[in-house]
Parts: sequence; C-alpha cells; structure tokens
Amino acid sequence: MVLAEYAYTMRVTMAGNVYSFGVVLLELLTGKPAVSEGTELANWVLRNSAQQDRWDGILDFNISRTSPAVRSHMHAVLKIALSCVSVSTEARPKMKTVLRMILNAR
Amino acid sequence: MTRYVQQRTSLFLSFLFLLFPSVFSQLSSNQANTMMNLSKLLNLSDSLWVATKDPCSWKGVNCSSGNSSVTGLFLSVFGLSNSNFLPAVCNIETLQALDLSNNRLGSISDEFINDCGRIDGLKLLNFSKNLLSGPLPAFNVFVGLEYLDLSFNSLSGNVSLQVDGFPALKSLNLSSNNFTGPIPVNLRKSLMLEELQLSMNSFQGTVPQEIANYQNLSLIDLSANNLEGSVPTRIGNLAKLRILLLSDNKLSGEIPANISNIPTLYRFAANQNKFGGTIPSGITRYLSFLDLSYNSLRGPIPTDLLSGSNLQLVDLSYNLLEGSLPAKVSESLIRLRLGSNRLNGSIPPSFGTLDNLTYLELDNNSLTNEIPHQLSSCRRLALLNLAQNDLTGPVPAPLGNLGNLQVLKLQLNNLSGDIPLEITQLQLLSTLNISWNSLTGSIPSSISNLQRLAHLNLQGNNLRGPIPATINSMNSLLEVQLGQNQLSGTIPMMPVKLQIALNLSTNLFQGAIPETLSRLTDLEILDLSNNNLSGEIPESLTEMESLNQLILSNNQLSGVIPDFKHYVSLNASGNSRLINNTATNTPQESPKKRRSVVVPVVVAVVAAFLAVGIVSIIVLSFSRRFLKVNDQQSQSGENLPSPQVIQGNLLTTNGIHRSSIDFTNAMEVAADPLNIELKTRFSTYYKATMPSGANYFVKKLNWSDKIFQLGSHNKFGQELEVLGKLSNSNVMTPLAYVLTVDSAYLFYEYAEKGTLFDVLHGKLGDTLDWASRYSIAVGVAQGLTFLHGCSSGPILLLDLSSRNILLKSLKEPLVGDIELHKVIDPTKSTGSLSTVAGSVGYIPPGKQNSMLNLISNKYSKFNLYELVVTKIHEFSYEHGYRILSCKWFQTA
Repeated sequence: MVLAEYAYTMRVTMAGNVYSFGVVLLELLTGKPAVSEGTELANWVLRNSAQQDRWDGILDFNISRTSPAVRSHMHAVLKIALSCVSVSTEARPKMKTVLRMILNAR
Repeated sequence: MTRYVQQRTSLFLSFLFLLFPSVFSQLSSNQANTMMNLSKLLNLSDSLWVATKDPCSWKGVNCSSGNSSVTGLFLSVFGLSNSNFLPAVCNIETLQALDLSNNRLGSISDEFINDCGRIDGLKLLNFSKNLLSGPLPAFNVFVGLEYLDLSFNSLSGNVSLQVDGFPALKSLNLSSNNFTGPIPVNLRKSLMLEELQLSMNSFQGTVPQEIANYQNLSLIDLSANNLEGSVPTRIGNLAKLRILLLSDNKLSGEIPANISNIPTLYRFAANQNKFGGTIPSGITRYLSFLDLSYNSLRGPIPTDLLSGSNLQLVDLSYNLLEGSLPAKVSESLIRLRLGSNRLNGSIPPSFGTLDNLTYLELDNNSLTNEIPHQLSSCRRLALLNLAQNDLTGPVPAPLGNLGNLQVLKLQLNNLSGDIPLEITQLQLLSTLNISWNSLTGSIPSSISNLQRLAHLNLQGNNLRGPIPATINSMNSLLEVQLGQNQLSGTIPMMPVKLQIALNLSTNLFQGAIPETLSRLTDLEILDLSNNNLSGEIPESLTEMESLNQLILSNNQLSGVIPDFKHYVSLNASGNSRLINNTATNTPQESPKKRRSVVVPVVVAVVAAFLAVGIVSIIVLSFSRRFLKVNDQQSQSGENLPSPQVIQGNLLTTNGIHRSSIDFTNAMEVAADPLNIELKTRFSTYYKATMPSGANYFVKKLNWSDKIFQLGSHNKFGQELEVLGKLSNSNVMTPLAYVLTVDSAYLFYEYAEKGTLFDVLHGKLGDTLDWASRYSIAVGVAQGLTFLHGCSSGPILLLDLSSRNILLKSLKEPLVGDIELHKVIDPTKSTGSLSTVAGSVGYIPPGKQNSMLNLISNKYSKFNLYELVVTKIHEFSYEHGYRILSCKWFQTA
C-alpha cells in the first residue's frame, strides 16, 4: 500500500497516455515486464538503443529469431515505441500518428 | 577520442606482436587457443576482448598469479544471447568461477553440464538474470561446486533430483523463477549448505521438517511462494541461522517460539502470511530485525518483545494485537511500526529515552490520554505518526525540539488547544497533518518558518481568525487543506507552487475571490464552497491551466460564470445571483429517457426493509452470503451499511446483451470470491455465466476505498451513459451497471484470455508469436486513438498498462478501465492511493522525478535508502511487481 506521503500527483494527459502505450509496445517487443529487477523497461531500452546495431539485444530473442522478416518488422515497431517514450512531451507523436506509423511499419 | 586511442593502441600492439610473438601470452597454447576460439564465438566488440592482447588482460577474464592459467570468467552484462559458446568454456580445465549473469541466454546445454561438471575446481556458477526457461537442467556431477545462482530466470517445474549432485554446495539461489511443487530437501549430499534462496517462485506445500538437517544453514529465504501450514519447530535447531525469511506466503499456525534459541539469528520476517495466535515472548532476545506485519496475530504484545538489546526494526502493523504498549523498549530501536492494530492505553513516557528512534508509527489504534511530551527527547525522530487514535490534550509544545522531524501526523484524534508556536520551528517538516481534531485559536503567522512544508492539513478543527498573509512565502507548499474550520477574513495570496489542492471550504471567508488565484497554474483542485464570498468569479480563473475541479457552491457570488475549459468540473450551485449563460458546464438533469431496467426481484429480507419504510424505492436485497462477504471485505472491520442494490441499468443497445444480462445472477456471482477472475489495480473482475449460457465480466469498483468519489452516484451514472455509447472493437465499453451504497458493478463482454500482462509475462509468454503481438499493438493503438479522438472530448486513461489491456483472443485486445479518470477523486488525500495515478514503469520520467523529490525532501539521506526500499517493496507488493534491488531508485 502506498502511503499518502509517498504519493504524488500527476496530470493525466494525452502525451502521458502515449508514453504508457510506448511501454506496452516495449513489453510486446522485449517480452519483459514494465518493471523488472527494479529497472524500468523504458529506461533500460532507452539506455541500450543508442546504437542501432545493438537493437537485436533488446528484442525478445524467442520472437525475433523466427525469421529475418519478423526481425526487421520488430525493428520498425521498436522505432515507433522509442518515439512514444521520448523524455520530452513534445517529441511524442499523437495517438493518431502512432496508429498510422504502426500500420505502415515495414 | 578514446576510440581513436584504442585503435592506435591496437595497431601498435599488433605491430609488437609481429616482432615478438612470444610476448603474446604466458598461457598454455591450449588455453590461449580456447580463449581465441571463445572470443570468436562470443563475437564481442573489439574494445572488450582485444585479440592481440594477452587474454588475461581481457575484460572479465581472471588468471592465476603469473597469468599461467585462466581461473575465472566474469561476463556479466556482456549482452550475450547465444548459448553456443558454453561447451568451449568447459575446455578451460583450470576454471574456478563462471559468471554469466545479466545476459540474455536462453538455455544451458547438456553438453555444458557434462563437460564443465568434470572441472573439479569449478566453485562458482552464476546464470542469474538471463532468459533461461523450461525445467531445471539436471546438474548431476558438479563435484566442487560451492555457489550456484540461477535466480531471475523463467525456469519452471519441480525441483528435486536435479540438484542432487553437489557434495560441496554452500549456496543455492533459485529465487525469482516459476518453480512449482514442494521445497526441495533432497539435497542429500549438500550437507554443507549455508544459503538456500528460493523466494519468488510458486513453491507449494509446507516448510519441510528436513530443512533442519542442513545444520550449516545461515540463510533461508522462502518468501513470496505459496507455502502453507505451520513452520516446523525443528527450525529452532538450526544453530547457525542468521536470516530467516518467510514473508508473503500462506503460512498459518503460531510464530515458532524456539527461534529464540538461535543466538545467531538477527533477521526474521514472517510478514504477509496467515499466522495467528499470540506472539511468543522471548523471540527478540537476539534479533535485530523483526517483521510480522500483515498477519492475524492476536492478544497483547509480550512485555519483553521490544526490549531485545539488538533490536533495530520491529514491524507488527496490520494485525489484531490488543492491550497496551510495552513500556520496556530497547534503546537501539530505529524503527517501530505498530499501526493498524487494536492497541489501547497510553503511549509510555519511557519512549522518550529512545535516542536512535527515527520512525515511530502507532496510527490507527485505540490509544488514549495525552501525547507524552517526553517524545520530544527522541532527537532522531523523522516520522511521527499517531493518527487515528483517541488521543486527547494538547499538541505538546516540546515536539518543536524534534529538529529532524519531517512528517508529523496527528489527524483523527481528539487533540485540543492551540497550535503551539514551537511546532513552527521544525525546519525540516514537510508534512503537517493535525486535521479532524478539536484545535482552537488561530494559525500562527510563524507557520511560514516551515519552508520545507509541502502538505499542510488542518481541516476539521475549530480554528479561527485569518489565514496569515505569510503563507505566500511558503514556497514548498503543494497542498493546503483548511476546510471545516471557522477561519475568516479575505483569501490571501497563495504560494504559486500549489499543486494538489487548495481547500478553504466551509469557513467564514468573505470578500471577493482574488484575481491572484489565477497565478496558481499548477493547481488542480480549488474548493471555496460554503463561505460568504461575494462579487464575480474572476475571468482570469479560466486561465488556470491545471485546474480540473472548481467548487464555489453556497456563497454569495454574482455575475456571469466565465467560460471554463470543458474539462473543468465546476460546481457553482447555491449562489442565487450567479448567471449561467454557457449551460454546458453544469451537468443538467435532462429528462432523457434512461434505459433503466428495474429488476423486480425481492428476496428474503424484504420484510425488514418494509419495517424501515424503504418500500417505495426499488430495492433488491441479497442472500446472507452476499452481505457477509461484503462485511469481510471491508478490511477495517467496521460495520459498513449493508449493501443494497439501487438499480440495474442497461447501457447497451445490443439486443443479445440486453436479453442475456441477468442482474440478480450477476450480483450473486460477485458476492463469491471464488468467482474472481482477475484483479487489477482499482478493480476486481468476476466471471458471470448468465442463465442464457453467455459469459460476462462483472467488474467491481469499491467506493469504500475512498479513492472513488463518494456520493456521486448520479454523476457516475451519467458518465457511464456517455461511455456506454462508445463503440470500438478495441475498447471495453460498459454494457450495464449496478450501483450499490459502497460499490459499483460494471458489466463487460467477457475476455477469456485475461490480461495482456498475464499472457505476455506469465506461463503463456512464449506462445504469443509476433503476428499476435503486432495485432495487439495495432488493436491497442486503434482503441486509444478512438478514445483520444472522441467527439465529446478526449477520454484519457488514468492507468494504462498491460494489466488493464484484456484479450478476447490472442489477437484481439480490449483497452479497459476507461471510466477510472472520471471516478477517481484526487482530493481525498486521506485515501491511500488517492493521488497516485499510473503504475511505476508506465509513468513518463518527469512526473516520476517529482515523486522522488517528494520522498527525498522528506527523509534524511541517512535512512533514505532503507525507507525507499521498504516503500518500493510495499508498492510492489500491492501491485504484484517484484522489485528486489534499489536500482530503480539509483538510476532515476
């Protein structure tokens, strides 16, 4: 139970929802929960995604290994997820844009 | 730059190598070859393993003195995902330690186990924090192995013979996997065992007697499993035991008394179980840390329990303990938590001798008499929580001497007298809550000395006079609750950082609403109701960007209501001279036809209701069982009013649903905990099979949790009418609802696969292929896009996470909990979860930092780590997250 003194307020915003959606995308891509071993998934991915050649290490290997096509599709979705969890609110796309990007992801 | 240097160096070295090949290594050519081979298999970046250098200088490689042989490979966090290099490792016959933790390895091959098992000198094997799955491999022949760590993987199945082959084993760590079945005790040859860590699995059955055969055990961690039954008394025979952790199981019976015979035992935790009976005396003779919170322990606290000379932390909160507080208390105590019991009597003045006491929590008991002024001698005290007792007398002025105090909570007592000026000397104070007492006098103007104060709550007292103008200089204030007093005068300038709420309701304030309030651009709730305020509502209030609730009812305001943004919930009723020309803001009771279906089922105790005269209302009553279960669910055990169904309302226009949904049937289902299908953060889902055979989810929101807005049935009904009209195949639209006095029940289509979280991270994880995952991503995006683009204004999700995305099939997600942001009331700051929105991991970083800032403002560095770990543990327990380390805190 979180005691009131450890609680905090937050404004629920569209950009905040986009961030949370980005985390759900990352869960689907990595197979890891949003928080594990005390580390937040979004932080972990952001830390390890600076170089694109290391992206394979982020993806759920059991899934990405099924075929090169799946792997490259996952890369495309990972790119979208990364934009959703941008630290800056302004850098996060609107949900409508996110949907279009996901549908067009190749 | 460094890269350049590295390139240069490696060039230089390869040049040297050409000249003097013998410089290369002192390793035998065999080992050098093995290492070169390994280097190729691992395919590491050049900077880690530079092929031209001596392998003994490679990162993570340890060699014997003189670099004649490789003795250790420490490859933690090397980004390894392919296990094919493992057999090659076993060619290093001199290997003593192999650490592969924190990688992404998916399997350990039999070949590795056979080959490496033959290395006599191999003492340490660490595969923790990888992606190992499937059953535990059979480690038959590791003759010299002393440390085996497989924690934080996804291994499953029973553990028995696989761990039979370790004659020298000292430490076995299988924690945080998915193991089931009984606790393994057939480690026949491992009588040397010192550490057994099996926490965070699904081990079942009892704590076996045989565990006491391992006489060298010093650490036993069985926490967070499904263990039942009582703890075997033989555990007291483990003469070297130092730490015994049994937390978060279903253990019952009594706390084993003979742990008091173990002189080495310094930490014992049995919290979050079903232990009953009384606490045996003597158990803290040697202990430093004792946690028995969240059990059903009864009777008095033994008089010697708090007197153990080594005691530092005692947590007995959330039990059924009675009687008075023991007067003999150990001076080594740092933290004492006895909250939420049934303790009575006075707080012993002897507590004043506790020089090390930093946290004292005695809240939610029945303690009486005055707060002893001797508490002011506890100089280290940072947190003093005596809320919700029957304490009387004044707030002791000497408490002003507690220079380290950061949180002072005295609310919900019968304290009287003035607010002592001395309290305003507490330089570090960040929370001051003396609400709901009988304080008199005025608010001292020296309150502005409290420059760290973030939460000021004095509501529900008899305070008079004006709010001191100095309040404007209190730059840390986030929340001001002064409602229900007799404060008067005009509203002064308020500090601009106010964020959570400014509540001045039910006082005697007069004059106009000051324009200056519009500076409070972060303020979310402004309640000025039930005062004598007059004049117009300043137009500038519409510029308060964060404002979402504005309550101005029952004043003498006049003029035209300005045009507030659509998301501002405005209540301006009871101002007879106020003109509303927009008409859209105040919810209207339009006589639209409500698709209500009255369910004329009257069962059993109607006669009783007749007697009380509620015949005219549409009343349903339920079987005893229903009432009883609800009583049990009210944790406080208070006698809440019996739940009565007011009305069953159909929202859907779909004829099939309308004919299938049977309210009586559904309510019976929701009365039985056995029908619980899943629990999310704010709600419980029941699976209801209707007489037609169709399945539905019945989701229960508990009003009595206080986080939901109470007494707003009508408004909630209206919100649901709006939500019920939404139609999107990826949104969980309510089909019908029932509101009772203390709960709301919402009906939805049944989603048979459960939550995305369980499917993705549970046992089914591997079955979710990419096609399904992509389809879920598209579906959730469609649902969210639909909600954000609603023509009546965006519908935002309070707490979007994989725990409230439900799956109709493995490819069809439904976004759930869409009604929450409409019903959760952030003003109820007494509610424990009230101001928390969003789950850890799903909250954007800036917002999270503000939480951490709050914490760090409040607690001295000295105990911050311990505190945060505890709090994170409590938080994670509540939300099913398993957070073990403090990494989150450190990196945030």
